[in-house]
Amino acid sequence: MVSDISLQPDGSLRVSGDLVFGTVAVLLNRGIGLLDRGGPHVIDLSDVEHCDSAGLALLLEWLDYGRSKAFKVSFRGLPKGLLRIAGLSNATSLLPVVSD
Amino acid sequence: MDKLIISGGVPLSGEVRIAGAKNAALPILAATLLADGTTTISNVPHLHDITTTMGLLGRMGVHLTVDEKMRVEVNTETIQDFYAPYELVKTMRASILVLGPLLARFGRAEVSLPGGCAIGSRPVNLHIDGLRAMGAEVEVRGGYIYARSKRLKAARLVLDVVTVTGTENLMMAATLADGETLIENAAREPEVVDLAGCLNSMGARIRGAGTDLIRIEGVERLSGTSYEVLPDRIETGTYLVAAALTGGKILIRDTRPHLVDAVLQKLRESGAEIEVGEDWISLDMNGRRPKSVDIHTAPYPAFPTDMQAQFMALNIVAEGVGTITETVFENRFMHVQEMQRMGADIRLEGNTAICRGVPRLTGAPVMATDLRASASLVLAGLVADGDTVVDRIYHIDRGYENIEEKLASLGARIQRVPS
Repeated sequence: MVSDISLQPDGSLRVSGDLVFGTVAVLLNRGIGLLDRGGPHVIDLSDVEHCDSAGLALLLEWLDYGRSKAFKVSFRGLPKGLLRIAGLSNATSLLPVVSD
Repeated sequence: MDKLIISGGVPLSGEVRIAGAKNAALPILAATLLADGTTTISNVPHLHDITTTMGLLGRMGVHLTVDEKMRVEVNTETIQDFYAPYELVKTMRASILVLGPLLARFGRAEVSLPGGCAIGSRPVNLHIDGLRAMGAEVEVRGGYIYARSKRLKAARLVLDVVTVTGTENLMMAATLADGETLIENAAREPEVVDLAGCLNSMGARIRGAGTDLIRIEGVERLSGTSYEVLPDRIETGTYLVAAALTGGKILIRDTRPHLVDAVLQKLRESGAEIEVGEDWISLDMNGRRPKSVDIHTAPYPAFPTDMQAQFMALNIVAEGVGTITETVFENRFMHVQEMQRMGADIRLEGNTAICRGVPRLTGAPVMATDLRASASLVLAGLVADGDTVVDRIYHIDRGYENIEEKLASLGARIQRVPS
């Protein structure tokens, strides 16, 4: 499955496919472009298939980007695998989560 | 600091899966520094010390990725630094394990001395002496080990005392040395064998791991590999003891029974019915109170010092009187006073603890002082009347993956209270 990030009707962003080392560079820039459009700045990860620590790093990069532009990014539908990786890195508390 | 609150009185029942061995994963992660190409390590436990080690490698510039199954992929192409700082080493003594690989592959290493340890003296002079014997220039100053070398030269290394990390560090260094190195009086622990297995899968030529004489024929280079860490025998033993002292019944999965032979023997002596398969162990106390056992710790394959505190938790509630003699570390009885706070009857005579079992312990606030002591206090809490509050459980998080979840799945009344 091709990895992508797209704008949803409710203004949130939805990530699909794999969130791994090989895909995060492209997703980072696409995500930044979409975040710059404004909106609720909620990124939905429910459709993520596989992830690794590069994916966690990507989420942290988006958070950082939001802080630099004075808006708050939050996440929805975090995959269990990603939460495990975040736990290993003591980064769970760094990820703002909104409920479905 | 987080605490664990345990309400005792429930016989444990159910199944638990064992994680990869921390004491195998840590040297294997260090060993990735030796390889050209990418090394993928699976069955890596989800523990603070693993995070610390990955952080240490990352700070050196090593490229690491962790996937959702906790497989760690390491590539050292991007390494820029050969330095292990005090701020990391002081939190995890095993950081010393990067010394041998850095020196062997890159010709240089600057590693902080670990400093003191709560459970006893654990000097690294054997590591330093061994590397010097292999031709390295090693200077210790300002709390740091500065090591330089062209290609290391093989040597006959006779270790004065059996040291696991010393054996591992020198074994790793010898893999790229010129000639055949002998390590005599080597540690025989399964984790040393696992490290040798990983190194051999990288192209090393190591024979004799698991015996007291290890031969390493040096090669020009090692390659990346894929390797699965062996199951944690101490986690295995801990859950077996938890079931035994609560009079419960447990099935342990994803383990290797032969790694815990000495522990199983003692549990059988305590009255447990034990059956084993290729990768599982079942224990059933049939609701009975365990009987006291006598324990004498020594290097592998004898009874492991890392299980001493857990068996003390068993002895303090068992029928009869049992003695526990600790020969490996000189200060590994710090849990005794905490257990006495819970009503345990323990008398210390030198390096022997004489435990007279009591029918019930009483829950109390207790403080963890080291990894295995903290586990023993949790076990004691499982059979105490009322609530036991174990403070400073960051110790336990260093060696037990999701302990409260695993125990709760077995029926224990246990919860973590964040600080």
